[in-house]
Amino acid sequence: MSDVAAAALGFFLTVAILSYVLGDNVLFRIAAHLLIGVTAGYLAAVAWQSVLWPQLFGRMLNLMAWLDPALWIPLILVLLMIGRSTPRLSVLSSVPMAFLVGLAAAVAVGGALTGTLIPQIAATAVSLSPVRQSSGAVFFDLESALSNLIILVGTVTTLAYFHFGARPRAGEVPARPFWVAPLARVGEVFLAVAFGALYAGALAASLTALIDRVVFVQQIVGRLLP
Amino acid sequence: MADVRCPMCGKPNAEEAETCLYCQARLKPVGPGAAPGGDAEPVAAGGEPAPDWLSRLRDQGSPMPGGTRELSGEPESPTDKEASDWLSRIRTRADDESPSPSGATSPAEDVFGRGKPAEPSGPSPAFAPSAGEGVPASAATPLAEPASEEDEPEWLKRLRARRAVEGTPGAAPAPSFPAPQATGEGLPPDWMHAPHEDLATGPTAAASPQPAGSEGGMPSWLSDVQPPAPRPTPVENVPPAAPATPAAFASEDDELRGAYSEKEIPDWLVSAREEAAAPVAGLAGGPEAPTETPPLEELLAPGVLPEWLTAGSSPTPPPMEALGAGLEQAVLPPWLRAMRPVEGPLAPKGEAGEAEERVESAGPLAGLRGVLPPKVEAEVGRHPPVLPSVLDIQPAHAAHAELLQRIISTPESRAVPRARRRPQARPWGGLVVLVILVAAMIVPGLTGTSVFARPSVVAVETLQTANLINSLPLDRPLLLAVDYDAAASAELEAAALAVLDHVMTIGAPIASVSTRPVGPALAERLMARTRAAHPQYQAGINYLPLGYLPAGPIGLRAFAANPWQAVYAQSAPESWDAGLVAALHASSNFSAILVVASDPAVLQTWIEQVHTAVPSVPLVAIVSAAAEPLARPYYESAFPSVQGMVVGLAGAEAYECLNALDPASGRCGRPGVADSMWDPFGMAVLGAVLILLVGGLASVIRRGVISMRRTSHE
Repeated sequence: MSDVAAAALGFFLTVAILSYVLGDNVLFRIAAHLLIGVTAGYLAAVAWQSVLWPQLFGRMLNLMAWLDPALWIPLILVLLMIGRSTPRLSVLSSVPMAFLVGLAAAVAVGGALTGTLIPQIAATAVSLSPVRQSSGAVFFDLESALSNLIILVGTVTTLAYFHFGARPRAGEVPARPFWVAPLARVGEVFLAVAFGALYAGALAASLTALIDRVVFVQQIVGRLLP
Repeated sequence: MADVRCPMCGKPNAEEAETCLYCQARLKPVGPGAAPGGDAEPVAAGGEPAPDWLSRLRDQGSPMPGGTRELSGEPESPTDKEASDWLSRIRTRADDESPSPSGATSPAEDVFGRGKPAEPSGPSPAFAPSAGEGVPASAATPLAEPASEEDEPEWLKRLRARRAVEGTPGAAPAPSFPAPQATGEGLPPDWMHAPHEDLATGPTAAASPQPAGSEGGMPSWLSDVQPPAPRPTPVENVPPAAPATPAAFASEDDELRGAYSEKEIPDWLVSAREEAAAPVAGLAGGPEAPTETPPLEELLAPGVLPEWLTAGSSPTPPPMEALGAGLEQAVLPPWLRAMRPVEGPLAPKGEAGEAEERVESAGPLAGLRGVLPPKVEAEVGRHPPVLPSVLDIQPAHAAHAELLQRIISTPESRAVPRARRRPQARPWGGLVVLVILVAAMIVPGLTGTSVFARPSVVAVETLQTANLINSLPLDRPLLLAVDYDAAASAELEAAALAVLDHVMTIGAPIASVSTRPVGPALAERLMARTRAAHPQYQAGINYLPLGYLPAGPIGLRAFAANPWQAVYAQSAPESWDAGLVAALHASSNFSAILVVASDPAVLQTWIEQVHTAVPSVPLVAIVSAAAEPLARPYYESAFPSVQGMVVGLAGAEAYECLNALDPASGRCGRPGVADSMWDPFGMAVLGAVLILLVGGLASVIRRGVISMRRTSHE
């Protein structure tokens, strides 16, 4: 019974969302409001069940846990953050906010350096020689050489495209240096290919989601029809 | 103390202040008009002698009233010519008529009588020749000798007595004048001396009538101030047509000297001249100089004027406008205009020619004339114009005001009419696209035919993922990170189910975690869908749902340090496998990390925060097709952070094929979720490509048609 009700609700919400193709209407608004309400309630429940209770309030029931700074320091920060709800005490929330922002920035920068920037820079330091040597044998790898060349050219020209600096000259329109302009032009091609790939991926993902819903509706309709 | 308002900032300052106390602007101009009191005499400061050029100009220039000389060098004005004409006529008449010192008619009397506006009914006092206010002195009045000293008025007696005491030549018996009937006093009233104040600085200071041929009787100072070439100069507020002015007397003095000998001048005239000169000397600096001049209205009051002067006229004085009627406005010479007091910023706006005559009073341009338009002055410190207090409200405006008042007063009682919704344009294009795509998706299911074959070539990253799963140790859990939204579940669930099916097939334990609140629910959904094929996977035994991991990157960093501490601060449920729970105290205990993400940023965070902490643990990414371009560099690099990838529905279909591959036939065996969506997906992609091509072609054609129309119109 619950499966039937869930399937009927899912069918109704799917049709309501798809009705947006006809324009903004009541069905779409009902579905959107329902989604927002359910999401908010679910987020609150998850925050209580997964964070607040097991890591803060649940531990407060244990008196011995109060000796642990890991309990009352976060509690103080939480109480200071509550002050943000009133304008007079909002200044108190600057302490936990500064703690969060500073910590997040430090963690993000450190991880980006070691996880993205350095490995990606090292990835562009590739050999353009088609001659490879492996296990004492020398072979000709034209494919790898061409791939490495494309990687190098794509990286350099794309970076050149984002070089927007121009030296002003009297009576002339500011323009890129003469050696940057052709590189930037090539970089535009690489960017267009990248954006095309992103669009194709987004289209594929959207089509997949639509297929899932259409197949779902088709199955429901198939069950209802004799 | 009167305040002087600063022309720059408009703030009041002391009258004697040279510069503004607030803005340091100069309050008094430094130009020609800066001389206090309007004194135009260019005397060097400190009593120093004037420069040579100024002395030459003084010598060469014709004397001007007030002791100044003509410096502009302008040609003689018509007024000068006119003065010369009447002067020549006087000279001619003086030559023709014989002198008659005792006669009833003398040249002096004729001169005096020419300019009188009204015939006086009584005798004229002796002060008339020195009057500077333009009051005509009637010299034609018979100046009869009084019968006896008793008949003399009291003031004349005192005058005689003073002359006798001083021993001046004027102490001779003066002619007896009829006493002014109006005053009835012995001495002339003060208002009679008032014009002498003007004589000190006016043109009559040196133009007092003097008996001809009596130079020996004149004081030396009076001889020095005698103008060498008197010429009547038009002065402001003095009608040029009145020849009987003191200037006229002064100009005719020399002529009269030649016409009458000193002996022929009666004593009364000598005495009268001395009497008239005495207060002038006092005005020049003597102690008897009057300090204040009564206003003209006070002088013309009925009770002040003598009776003989008011007789024959109307009992009430004419208005001031009538007094000035018929008088022509005098034209000031340029040098005198430059010396006029500078108008302050609060002065009313002048005429159009004000810009040329305006003298700057402050700033570096102080003293310069006509360099700035008067608008600047008008904008600085000018009082706003006085507007009428009664507004002229139009009926339409009143109706609008009433409506506004009603709206403000009762906002709740007035229902605001709802704006009529603009009818939306029918989304026919979107509807057509939807119909095409849906039709393309439904057709394979309705017909039951397979349009698109399964991929025969499996991507390298998918193969590496399968190989990695095959090599997973079974004593350590696999970390499943469910970090995607429900909207991407259709695509990612297909790939995740294929991989999880492989993992459960080999029997590796699984621990799921998510950095998104919806992640635990989606993870439970995944496990529920795979549990049908793998019922042995139960929570706590070989599957540990760790739930939600808050704080994003910070939580991931903490999770990399101690997964159990970051997720579960309390003790584990008793039903959970102790061995698995023990393995969660270090991230390095995971056999692999399987990240299912729809956002490449989430995958990047996992790589940066967790994989860098435990690089020995392989990381496999199951990403959406939209995130592939940004996730692939982590896999394609020389130092890959991602050891395997399954991308989108195509990767899921390939992985399903790998899971159910028949080694004998080399064909895919058991179909999965991805397989059921493969044909609709292919048809939808084909339909989308067709729509894109048709739309692009239509756009090109439309542009071409528009361009052709423009060309034809041109």
